[in-house]
Amino acid sequence: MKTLPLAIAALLAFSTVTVPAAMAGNHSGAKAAIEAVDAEFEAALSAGSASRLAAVYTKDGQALPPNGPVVSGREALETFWQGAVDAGLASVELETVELEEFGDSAVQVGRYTLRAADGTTADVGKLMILWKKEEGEWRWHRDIWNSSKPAK
Amino acid sequence: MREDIEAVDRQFEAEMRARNASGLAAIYTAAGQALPPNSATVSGHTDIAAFWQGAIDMGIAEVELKTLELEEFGDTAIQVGHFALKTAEGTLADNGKYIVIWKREKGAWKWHRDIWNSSNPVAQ
Repeated sequence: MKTLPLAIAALLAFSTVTVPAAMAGNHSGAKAAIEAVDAEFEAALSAGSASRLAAVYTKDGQALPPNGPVVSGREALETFWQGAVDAGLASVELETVELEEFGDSAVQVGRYTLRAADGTTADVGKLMILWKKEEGEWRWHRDIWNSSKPAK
Repeated sequence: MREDIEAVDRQFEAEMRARNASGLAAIYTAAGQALPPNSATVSGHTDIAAFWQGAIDMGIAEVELKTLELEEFGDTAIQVGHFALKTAEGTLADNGKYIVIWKREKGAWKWHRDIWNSSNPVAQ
């Protein structure tokens, strides 16, 4: 007699697990949380805080910057972003163009605008971020971007 | 799935060796986009073929693609990889990293969004 309720429980558990997969492409679940993290990245750069910028990434997070090697882990990411702050990068605007969620992963295609302290546009370009939910929080796991401006 | 995706990457490499821009464009989904460095986003097969024809005309003769990470989510996959571009003489023209969002379209895995950048310092 226990078999049937267990089977139903298993089915219910299975259906719960499969809901995010069925919602793949429907970004309603994660979009607000993900855009809040992007806003934190923007705020951290405006504050010139490399440690806050690094904290936006997963522990095993990587930045794949143009014209440089892959930057792995929060310590190296903090050094990388400190270098950008020291080079005069004062603010960034991130805009989501496409976002797809797959359970604890998401992929975002977007646009960025980088500005110097005087508000001058330093660069505009495109980005792709592979997001992971780590300890319940959405974080940047892989982060690649490039400029849309012609090479100098 | 991994084998299917690797086979598509080998096809891209073969189309580059054949200098076949339309073959390169056919690697992408119908609504595919390339997001090249120092360029606007390139959308759709016609514009993607013109983009790769430009790269061929500039002397790119060979590309090597290497998968570093691959994750599958149903009819979507995300690939992180390394590329090397070579001229006809075999000189390394550029190398760098990329992320491709793959979609299974009409049963075949295709590149849907393709972004990359160089790992080399900006030429002075």
